[in-house]
Amino acid sequence: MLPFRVVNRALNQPTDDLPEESYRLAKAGDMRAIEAIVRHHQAAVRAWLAAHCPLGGDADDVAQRTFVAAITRLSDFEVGTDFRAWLFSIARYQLMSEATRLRRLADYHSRLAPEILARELERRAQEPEERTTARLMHLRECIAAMGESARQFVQWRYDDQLPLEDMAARTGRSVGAIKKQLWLLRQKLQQCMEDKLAAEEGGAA
Amino acid sequence: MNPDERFELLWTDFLEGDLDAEGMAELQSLLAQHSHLQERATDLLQTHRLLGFAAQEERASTEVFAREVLNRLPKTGEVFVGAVMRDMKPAPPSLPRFPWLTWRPLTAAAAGIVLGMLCTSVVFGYSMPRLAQRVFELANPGFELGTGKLPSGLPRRVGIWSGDEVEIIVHPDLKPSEGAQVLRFVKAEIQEGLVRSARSCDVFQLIDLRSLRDHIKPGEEAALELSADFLDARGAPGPTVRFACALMLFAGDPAELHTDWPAALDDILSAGKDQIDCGDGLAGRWHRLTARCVFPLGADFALLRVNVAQVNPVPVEFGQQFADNVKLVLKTHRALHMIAATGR
Repeated sequence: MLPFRVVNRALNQPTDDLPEESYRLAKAGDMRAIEAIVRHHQAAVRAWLAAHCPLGGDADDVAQRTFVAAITRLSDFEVGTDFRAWLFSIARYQLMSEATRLRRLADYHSRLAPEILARELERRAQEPEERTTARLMHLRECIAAMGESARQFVQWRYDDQLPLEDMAARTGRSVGAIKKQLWLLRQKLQQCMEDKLAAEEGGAA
Repeated sequence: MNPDERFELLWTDFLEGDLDAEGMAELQSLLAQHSHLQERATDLLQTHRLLGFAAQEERASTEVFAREVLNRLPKTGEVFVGAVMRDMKPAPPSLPRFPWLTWRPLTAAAAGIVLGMLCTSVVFGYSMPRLAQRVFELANPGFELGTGKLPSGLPRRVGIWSGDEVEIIVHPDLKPSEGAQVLRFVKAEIQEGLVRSARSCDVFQLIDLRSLRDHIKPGEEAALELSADFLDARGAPGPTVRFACALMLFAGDPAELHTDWPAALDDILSAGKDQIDCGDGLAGRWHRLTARCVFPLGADFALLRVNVAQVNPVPVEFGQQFADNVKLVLKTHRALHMIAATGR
């Protein structure tokens, strides 16, 4: 069994194909229309926030706040304009608020996390959000294309969240060897994803 | 060891939470000195996050996310939405019966035995100087969304109330415990043809607990607390009725529970119940019940039950009994001390 879904329906829909009527109904308070909008856009927003949320932040919580803010301000949205762009402008604002909140907290993460990374994440948050969507889609494809043993490690680490010691015990290897294995897997996935992105951009050009 | 090799070790330790303050300072220094490592680290961090997101999406589905968003809408929005939904056609008054109803007497007895055993043998004694609480956003907790009869039978998906004959109403002469609407227990239901009359009027909600697991840190213990307000509004003393709220925790897929009911009662991982009897003493005022149970890590979903039941052989005609303001709270603590005791 594959540990992750290879195809994500919503992520494979880069354009907003919800009918305008959905947005009109949502503005009028129709809960079914609001729910449909949340379902339609949630994967892209959650993935983008997962990739850009500051260290120590809760990406899904920020995603929920984004949708709540959008729904409560639906009267500001003009039907016929780009809802996705409008939603992401709210997501960006919520992300900045989260970054500010975490900086003010001065907790473990904000004291010890590399500040350079935080700045770089903030910079990347200004880039087009479609890139994150594409990266996630390619990442799933790369995982699916891996050998069974490698996929098993990905599942243990990210799906089952096993401690390194458990992975070491299951494979009869040292914790150091498991760390090395995870490093190699991440490198491989990174490279695979970048190759696909480059091929896609080359194709588009 | 060159900077790239050193980065590999430090970075892996960072992602695995194994990096101490000294290592972090070294990593900061490496990143400050080598711009190509800054790019690399950010790329790897984002890939690491996306891997986590992909796995998380398996556990917390679109369904759960959408429900949580809708439940987080502000109260003023709920009032507005409630007003909109009042205009919608209510559910049909009589939906086809589900097979589980044929098991009602057995189910009620089995559930009663299981819950009784668990609830009389365990009483919570909290010693929680640093107790953390998180309110779980139930679907329609105060019955403010929509009016009319609720679907019949055991719920087949999370996020809806369903059960016996109950309805959400605005009562002109009754002050709700919160909001503008209440749940009215109308009739205990049972399979036609059985000689014995129905004794209990129940309403249920399935809760997906998987999203709550993320709020339990390693080494912490957790408990769930279900509370609800009940009112007996009979104008004169009458046969005793028993109000109760209960929660039962299971592993597996909540959508499958109805297919394995009541045999699933054998698989309860944890349960809690609170109840109160009422003849005439409660008439006119709301009474809050609170049921608690341990939240074991293997629990995937909970079945919540809010009900009123006949206690004595004397038949009771329901219709003047109400519930409102249901709340589910997750409580966590590093060392949750449970004191075992008998009786309640």
